[in-house]
Order: sequence, then structure tokens, then C-alpha cells
Amino acid sequence: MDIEIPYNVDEREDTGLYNSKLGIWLFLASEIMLFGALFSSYIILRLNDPLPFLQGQAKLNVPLATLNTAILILSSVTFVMSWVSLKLKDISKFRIYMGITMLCSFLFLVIKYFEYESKLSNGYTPAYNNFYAVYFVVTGLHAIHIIGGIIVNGYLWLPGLKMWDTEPERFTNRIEVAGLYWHFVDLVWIFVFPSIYLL
Amino acid sequence: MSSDNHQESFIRKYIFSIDHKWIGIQYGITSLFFLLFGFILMMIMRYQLAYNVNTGLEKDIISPDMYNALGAMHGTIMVFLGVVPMVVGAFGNYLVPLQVGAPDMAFPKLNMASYWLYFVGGVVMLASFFIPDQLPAHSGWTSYVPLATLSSGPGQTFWLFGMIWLIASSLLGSTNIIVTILQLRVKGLTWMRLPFFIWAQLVTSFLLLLAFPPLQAAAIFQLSDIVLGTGFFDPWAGGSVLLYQHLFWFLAHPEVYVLILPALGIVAEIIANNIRKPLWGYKSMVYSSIWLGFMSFIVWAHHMFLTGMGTTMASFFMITTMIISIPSVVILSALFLSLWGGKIRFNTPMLFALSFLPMFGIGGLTGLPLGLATADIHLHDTYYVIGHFHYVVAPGTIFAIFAGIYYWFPKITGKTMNETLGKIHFWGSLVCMNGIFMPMFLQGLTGLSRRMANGGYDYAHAREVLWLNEVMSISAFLLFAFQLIYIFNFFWTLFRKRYSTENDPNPWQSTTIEWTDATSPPLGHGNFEKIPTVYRGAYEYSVVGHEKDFYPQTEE
Amino acid sequence: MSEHNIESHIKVYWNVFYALLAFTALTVGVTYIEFNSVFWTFFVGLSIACIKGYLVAAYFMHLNDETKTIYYLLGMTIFFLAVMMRMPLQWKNSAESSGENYLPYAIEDKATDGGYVEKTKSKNKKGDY
Repeated sequence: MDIEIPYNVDEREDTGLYNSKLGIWLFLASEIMLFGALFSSYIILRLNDPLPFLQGQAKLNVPLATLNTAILILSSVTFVMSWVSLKLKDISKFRIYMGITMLCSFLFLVIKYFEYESKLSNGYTPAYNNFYAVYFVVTGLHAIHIIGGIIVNGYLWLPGLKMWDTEPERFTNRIEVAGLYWHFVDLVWIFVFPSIYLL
Repeated sequence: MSSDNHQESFIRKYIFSIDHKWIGIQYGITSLFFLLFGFILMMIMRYQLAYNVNTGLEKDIISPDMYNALGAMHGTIMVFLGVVPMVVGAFGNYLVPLQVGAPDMAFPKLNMASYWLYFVGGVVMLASFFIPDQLPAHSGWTSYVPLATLSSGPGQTFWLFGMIWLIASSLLGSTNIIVTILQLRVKGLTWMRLPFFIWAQLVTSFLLLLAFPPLQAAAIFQLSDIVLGTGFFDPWAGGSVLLYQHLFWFLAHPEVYVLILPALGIVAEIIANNIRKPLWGYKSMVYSSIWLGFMSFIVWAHHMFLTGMGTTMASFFMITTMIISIPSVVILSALFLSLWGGKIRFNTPMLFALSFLPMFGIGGLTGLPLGLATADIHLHDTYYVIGHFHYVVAPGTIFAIFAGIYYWFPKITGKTMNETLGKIHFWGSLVCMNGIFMPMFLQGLTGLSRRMANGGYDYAHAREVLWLNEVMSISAFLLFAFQLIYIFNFFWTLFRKRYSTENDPNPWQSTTIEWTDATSPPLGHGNFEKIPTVYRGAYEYSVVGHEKDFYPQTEE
Repeated sequence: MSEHNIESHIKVYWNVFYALLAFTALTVGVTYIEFNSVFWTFFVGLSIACIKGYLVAAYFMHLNDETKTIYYLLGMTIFFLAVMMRMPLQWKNSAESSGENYLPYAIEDKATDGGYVEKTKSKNKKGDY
């Protein structure tokens, strides 16, 4: 049923890449433009009317967000380690590391939920003023990307693992590619955290 | 590599197919439907403009609000649901793997996903016409704030929601095309041996990939403003109206190059084939298309000259806009110059491709006064603009689409469309297109504004040119009549039996891989019996010393 | 990649992780320092973010050993990103310095007091059009 597409697993000599690696970097390039547009808009809105931003920022829970940052960084390193485990052909280590990654991602969302809840229940909705508009839309879109990552990583961790038995290199490549996406999500947060919470 | 005896279910084969050829056909059928639908919306508008302006609003067949809705949806549907899915989704998906010698696109399942995302987006846009007692989006295809956020009804929300699906479809599709071209070229197909069509698709896909996300951000912000009540674009909340325009035009300018580049690719293929000699200046065309793609990201504010920009900004964007006209002229000139000394065959695809050249030329030349900030003060938002962009897209890109359909129909179906009907379709369309759009320049030069439901009836400066409204509308209705001939030809050829004279898989005697190495239609799943190897460039026609007047790329 | 290579990489990954945690702590710590100018506050904050970003990209995302194709792609993207981010700011500066009133209202009118913005402050309401 499936035709053999060249360079799915092996790298093509002149580009040095296999297909999905190029594909994911292209996708990440478009995501860079998306989050870049959001940041650019944030800068403009804040320059237009800085006061809501300064006041709103003071109300944010920095320790909780710092914890979230650390959790996401941990999930990044465990993701890399899960890929390394596959390279070392150690499937049980892969399961453990990927499991920790999944756990961290859920924790991130749970903490995010508490953050949002504390704002929304006090009447600080996105409509309150532009600081909250930016805060909710930017971190919300980031959270949606985390959810997307959870779905993909969850699939690779559980049902997708079947591919390891038949095509181990292709599966390892899938983890590498999913890892690139996950690291990008982490990277975005590395910029979102200081820009919105601290500076 | 290719065939298997697996009997696929109907759903797997025709609905959720992962074969790029069938997906290309799905894109083609859906976009042809949307092109027709958009045309009909325009005809309703043109009827209003020609015949109802003097009778008072109560007698008008459509209200001014409905006119606005038709206008906004005509633009949206033609650009995002009609032309781009046709030139990139249909032509791109079908031909790119075949022309590079690949068995399919790099990510077949992603390809299927991108079609169905487009389909859902289309359904959402169509659904906006059926909201009870409410209009579809009626704030222009540009959806400028504050009109879009303040206009009544859920139509705009539907528009934004639909755009999200369309943008997702576009991002997946462009990724697929780029990876296919970079990774799946067969042995011997080096960069400068690629057909110009492939270069055009490559640059187009980069434009789609990098330019759409800011519109996505703008759509998210606008959706948030309407649904969540945020103030991103509300000046009284510290927001910025111009922010929307920047984000929108950052996409929409590269978008217009997305509309034209694949068309240039199609025209280049057909011209090269029908002049029986190589394209003149192929390398310049390639470098120009790369330069064009790059520059298209830094000209966007020429759509915003009248927003009160400072003189430094105006100069910057004016200069970049003037510069960007150079690569387009290079490509067009190379195509014109290629004709010199050619043994030209005037079949239907060639007629459309040839007429593309002067039509696109008119479109391009009329863009120059718009790019000059001072002249734009008078011409901005007038019918001159409508004339300009329709010339590039309608007798421009759409003629290229027709040319492509007539040209590749034998490859896709194994049957050639009727020449006589094709020529009638061509001449009729050419005359009518000019009848519709040439008068618009006159109207625009008097200062007649666009997007007015009564076609300028209230304005003294429009009095002398109002009569042209009827001329244009009649041309539009005649244009529709000629399309009926084409539609008949299309379906009749599709459903009739294959003639005994139609056994040649390469009836146009072309050099490119899709003609020389694939059957008509190509084999399902895998395209090629034997993976081809490429030995020479794409346009080796009339090679000295070779018996045939064409030397295929893959012939040893 | 041989096993030997991977083993040495493992150390690198964990070192990068510790570095990232340290920089995170630094980034929060730095907010307690009062710089005299807004410029320096942002410069320091964003530089730390850039260093962290570089670590993730170079080591976790293997950008250090990537191919030219990817470098060109990213280079092009960053260029267009820079254009997109810089231009609207340049616009604002240019319009303000040209002395043109590029906003249809005076700037004082639109600055809010930082609190709740009644959307009815808008002169027009949804549904008017």
C-alpha cells in the first residue's frame, strides 16, 4: 500500500538531510514567523500604552512561572535523553525518559491552569486591558503548542512505539523530529518568560 | 517500486487518497467550483452596478451591505479558495513529483491532510452565506479593523475561522512541496536542469511558508477582539489599527506573488514546448524568481501609502517596490525574447500562454503608478487599482490556469480537449476580459472609488465614466457565456471514449519527465515503471544533430 | 553516530541542562537590580534569553552539526523576522519625527490608566456596521 519514498530514513548526499528533518525545520521556520509576529505586536502595543503592562506584570506570579520554566527545560533534556536511549538501543530507558517528559508537560499545563484561574477568577480577563490580552493570547497559543506536543509525544510513547520493532531507524528519526518541535516550544517559552513576566 | 495488487476501498482511493495525483485532482475540482462560485458573485455585483443605480435603493436587487458582502467574499474566495489552491494545490501537487521524477510527494499523508483542511476551510467560508438573517463577512477581503471588528453579525467570525483552516492547509502543503523538490529529485536533475515550473513552485512555497504566519497572528488577534472582547486593534484601549494592516499586508503582498509565480511557471513550460527551441535566459529567469521572492517581503507597505506614513518610510517602500518590478520584467522579457526565431505552434494552450504575456504586461505596467507614492495619492482605492490587479490575476493567472489545463489534460486523462472549442473559448475570453478591465483604468483615473454599491452614482467626478459600468457588466456576462463552452469541452472530453489517435503519452512532444517517462495517466502509486535518470536540461528543443526536434531530459 | 560519540554527548546534554537552570535563576535575579536605563534592563534580560536560546538550539536541537541547507533556511527566516519586527517601530519613529499626525486622535486620549478599559469607551459599538 505504501510506496517507498526515497530518503525517508537515509540522508540524501547533497543536502545531508532525511525528509522529515527538513520538513520539521521548515515548519519551525514558519512558527518562528508566527511567534515573531506576536512578539512584534507585543512591542508595538506596549510602546503605545505602557502603563497596563507595567501594572499587570507586577501582579503575575513570578516564582510559579520560574518553576514552570525549569519544568520545561527539564522536559527538554529528558526528551534528548530519550532520543539518546534509542540510539543506544535501550528501549526501557526510552520509555522512562519519555515518560518524564510527558509528566513534565502535564505539570506545566497544570501550573498554567492555576495561573490562569487566579487571574480569571479575579476578573482579569483578556478583555480587561491590553496587557491581559497579550498575556492570555501569547501564553495561550504557547499552551496550545504544548498540548499538540503532548498528543504527538504521547502517540510516539505508547501506540507509536510499535514501529521500533519493524523500523528502528525510522522510529529514532521520528523521535528526533518530534524532539526538534518540543525544543522549539521550550525555546519560545525561554523568550516569553522574561518578556512577559520579568522585563 | 510501484504497483501492488492491493484492492483499495473506494474511500481510500477516492476520498482519503494519499496519491498526489488524485489529491491534485481533488484540489483542481474543488478550486474550479470555487472559481465559478466567485465568478457568479461578481456577476451579481456587476448587474447591480450596471442597472440599478438610478432606481433608488429600494429597487436595488441587493442592499449596499449585501454588495459589500459579495465583494469581500468574491475576493476571499477567488484568492484563497480558487487561484492559490489551483496553481499550488492542483498543478503543484500533480506535477511537482512527476517533473522531478519522484514516486509521490515527500509526505503523502500530510498531502491528504492539507487537502482536507482546505476543504473544511472552504465549507466554513461557504457556510457564512447561510447564516440565518445574517450576512457573510462584509469588510473587504482585507478585513481591515475597525470595520471588521465592529461590523454586525457573525460573518466576520466565520471568515476568520475559515482562514485558520486555509492557512494550516497552506503551511502543510508548502512544506511538502519544498521537501519534495529538495530531496526527491532524481539522479542527474541538478538545480539548473529543473523545469522553470519547479523553480516557480519552490519560490512560491517559501513565500507561503514564511509569509502566512503573520496573517495567522492577525487573524488570532482579530478573532480575539471579536469573540473575547480584547483591544488589540482598539485605539481606545491602547491598541493599534495600523498593526492589523502591517500584519495583513506582510502576508498579502507575498500572496500576490504566490498568485503569479506558478502562473509564470506554467506559461514558461507551454511557451518552451510550443516554440520548439530552448527558453532564452533560463538562468536569468531562475535568479529573477529568487530575487522576486526575496524582495516580496520588503515591499508590503506600498498598500499603506495613504495611512499617514512618514516620508522616510514612504521612500523606502517606494524604492523597494520599484526595484521589485525589475525581476518581473526580466522574466517577462525573457519569455517574450524566447519567441524570436521559434517555430511557433498556435494550439489552444499556447494561445492562452502567449496572451498572458501582454496581459500580464499591462497589469505590471499599471502597477508602476501605484507603486509611486505620489501618484498613489490620487489612485489609491480607486477602480484603477481594481483594473491593475485584475489584469494580473484574471487575463494573467487565470489564463495561465486555462493554458495549463488544456496542456496537461492529455497527461491526466489520456484525452486531448477539442481545439476548435478551445480557440473559441480563448478569443471570446480575451476580448471580454479586456472589455471588463480596461475601462476600470479610465474610471479610476477620474478618481472613482472602489467598493461602492452604486458604482459612483453620487459623485460628480464619476458622471462621465458611469456609462462604462454597463459595458463592463455586459462583457462580464459574455465572459461567462464563453466559459460555458469551456465547461462543456472539459466534461465532454472527460467522459468520452479515448480516440485511437490519442495513444501517444507525449502528444505535445515535450522534453520534461512527466511527458516522457510516465503514461497518460501515470501509473497509480509510484508514477514510473523505471526510475528515470536525467542527462540534460529541461528545454533541449531543436538540438543540432539530433533527429527529433526535441531531446528528452531522460533520454540517454 | 557511534556509541562512543553518544556517551560523550550525554555529558554535554546534562551540562547544558544545568547551565540553563543557572541562567534561569540569573534571569530572575537580574530583575532585582535597578538599572538606570530601560535600554540596559531590556538588553541584559534579552541577552540572557538569547544565551539560553542558543544553548537549546545548538545542543538540544543539534544545530551545531547541522547542514548548510538548514543554516540558509534559518538565516533567511531570521532576516525576514528582523524586517517584520523592526519595520513597524521604524514606521512609528518616522511618522512621529516627520511631525505628521499619523493617529486620528491625540496620543493623550488613548493612553489608559493601566486599569480596566471599558470597551464602551469606543465611540462606535459592534453592530453599528
